[in-house]
This record gives sequence, structure tokens and C-alpha cells, in this order.
Amino acid sequence: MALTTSQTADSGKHAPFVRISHPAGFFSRSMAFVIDLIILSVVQLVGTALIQTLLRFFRLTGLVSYVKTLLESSTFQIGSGAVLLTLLVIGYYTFFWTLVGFTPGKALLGLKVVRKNGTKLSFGRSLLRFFSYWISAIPLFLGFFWVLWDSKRQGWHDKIAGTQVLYIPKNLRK
Amino acid sequence: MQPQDDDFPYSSNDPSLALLEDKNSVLTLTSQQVNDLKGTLRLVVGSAINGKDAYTKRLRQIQAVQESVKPDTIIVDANETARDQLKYLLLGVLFETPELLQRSLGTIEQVSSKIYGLVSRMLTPITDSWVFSPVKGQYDSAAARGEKVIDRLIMKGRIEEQNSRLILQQQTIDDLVNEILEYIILKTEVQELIEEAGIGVAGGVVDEFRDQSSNVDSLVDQKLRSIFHKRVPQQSATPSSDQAGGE
Repeated sequence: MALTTSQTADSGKHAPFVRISHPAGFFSRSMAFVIDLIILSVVQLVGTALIQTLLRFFRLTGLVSYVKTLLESSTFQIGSGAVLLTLLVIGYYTFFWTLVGFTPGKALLGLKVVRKNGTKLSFGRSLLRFFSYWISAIPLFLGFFWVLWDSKRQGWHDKIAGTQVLYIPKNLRK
Repeated sequence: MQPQDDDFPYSSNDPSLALLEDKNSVLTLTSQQVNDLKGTLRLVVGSAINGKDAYTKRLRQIQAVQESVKPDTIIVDANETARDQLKYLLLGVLFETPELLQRSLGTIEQVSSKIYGLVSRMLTPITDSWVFSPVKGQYDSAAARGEKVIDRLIMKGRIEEQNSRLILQQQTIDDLVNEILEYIILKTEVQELIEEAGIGVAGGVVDEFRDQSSNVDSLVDQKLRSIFHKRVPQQSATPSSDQAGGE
């Protein structure tokens, strides 16, 4: 299935990763996405439960309600927890995409997110891809299912951000 | 080498042994090093506190003079393109997200609270039993000690916050922060480490899992092609000319 160098002789300026790999399909990508969601949920639930348990152990729930009152009286009405959660989710995806090109879920499935020319995503492009997930999700996840129909196996978020998800070739995994 | 007698403590002029002593002493921190560490911590905490204060102050100043735009004052540009609308959609989603997450966080908090309550109820017969009573006593005293520790730490936090503010009044931190940021950005070891850990997740089971999921992808494609006469997916990403030259 992998292409040879001669087949892509005109793309010599692009990263070798693109030349020797091919786009990942819907099933692998869905599995990777679900694994990432599970990781994020576990981190969040364990974190919340741990904090609650610690607070109850030290009988500091009074302090929490005091902080809550303080936050509610503040001009910033956005809950600190919501902000932290937003930052966690955004940070999780953008950090891994920008730094290495794959989240833990994608790493497990042997997938990598790259730009169309095979280079790594910049931070801005990672952010764009993350927020484009919402565009893909709003019309009943049609943007995600688009991978099934698209000849390049790109979802809407891929098309918006100019990215593609490729299988990491076996010889590069070791 | 002549054997020495067995007097203890053993003393020798052998330089190799002196070197060993020096090596061991690396493991201990001198009071000066502890002070340096505290100073660094104060600098970091002070930067965070002062930075947050300055940011909040500035943000409130801006918000105080800024009037919110009302929907009826918006004039939609007749030449607005699909790209513009996509931009506005993204912005809308961006500003809607925190509220959405706030609502879902409330649910998550309730769920985790219920889980905690459920586990507590399940454990109550055990924790209230006579078998557990000595442990319960210890638990209560540990909790009391924990409260004292927390009180002490809170007081220390109050003192150190003031110290951190004071240290920043004596230091210009901009250069230092810039140097640190530059160092982190140029440091590629961390990046390589994560990359190797991710790609290198390869073993018999993981490889088999990856191969199977790749096979399912092909199978799904085949089925779709046979049902809907779908085009064959491209086997390699075709780099587009407009994307080739950077951002």
C-alpha cells in the first residue's frame, strides 16, 4: 500500500513521512478519539474525586464554600473549574499535536496528525483544528463521518486546518 | 598498599577516598542553597501574582470603558464570504464553550459527589464496626493533625506571598523570563522524549491492535465502495502547492 519514492518524485521538498505513509481510516481515528476521551474523563474524574476526598479528609469543605462565595461575588462569573476544564481539554490536544503530532490515543493506534506538506502543526493550526472539531460536531457529527466519503480521508476539521491523519509506518515506530 | 590498622573512624590521606567524601556531600543541601531555592520560588510566585494583578487591573480598566455591542447594531456586510462566516462561527463557538463547560462541570461535580457518597455508604458498615474502631481513632487524630498542618501552611503561604511581592520590587524579571523561555523553546530533548515514547509504543499486542484497526478501515472502505460506488481513497496524501511553503 505504501508509495515508493519514484511515485512522489515531484514532492521532494515535503517531509518523508508523507511520502511513505497513507491516510488513516474512520475506524482507527474513531478508536483513537474515544481513547483520548476516556483518558481526559479519567483524568478529570480522578482529579475531582481526589481533591474532594482530600478536602473532606482535612475537613476543609468550609474553605471551598468560602472560595466559591468569593468567586461568585467576583466580576468574573466564569467558574474557575470550567476554565480549568477548558484549558485541560484545549491544552491536551494542542500540546500533543504541536509537540509530537499525536495524542496518546493516536499514538496507541499508530496515527499522526500532520499538515498537508507533512510537517508538524504549529500551535495556531492546532488550535484551529481543535475548534474545528466543533464545526464537525454541530451537524450531527457529519464532519467526522466525512472521513468515510472523502477521497483523502479528511474530516471537515482537517480541511479547515489543512491537516491530515496518517498511519505511522511500521519502520518508524521502533 | 600497606594495610592500615582497624582504628575507627578510619583516616587516610589517600586522595581517591577524599574524592568519595566530596561526591557524597553533593547530596546534602547547604543552607545557602536552600535560601537560593526559596529565592527562586519567591521570584516565580511573585511574577505570577504581580502578573495576574496587573492583567486583572488592565482588563477591568478596558472593560469599564468598553460598551458591549448589541445585536441590533450589527450591520451584516453584503460582501461577507463563506470564509468570514466560518470565522464568526468559530468565534461564536469559542465564546459559547465556557458556559457549556460550566454547565457540564456542574453535572460532573454532582456525579463525582454521588460516587463519593455511594462509596462512603458502602464502607460505613466496615468503618463503624468494632474491628475498625482503633483505626478510626487514628484516622480522627490524623485528620486533626492534618488540619493543623494545613493551618500552618496557610499562614506560611500568607507570609511567602508578601515575600514574593517584595522580591519583585528589587528585581527586573523581564530578561530572566525571556532567557528561561528561550531556553525551553530551544530545548529539544523533552520533545524528542515524548515523540519516542509515543511512536515507540510498539509491542506484539499493540502492533496487532494497530494492524487490525487498519484492516477494519480497509474493510469499511470496501463495503462503502461496493454499496455506494465510492471513489477509492488516495493511498498517499498529496501535498498541495499552497501548503508547501510554511504557515
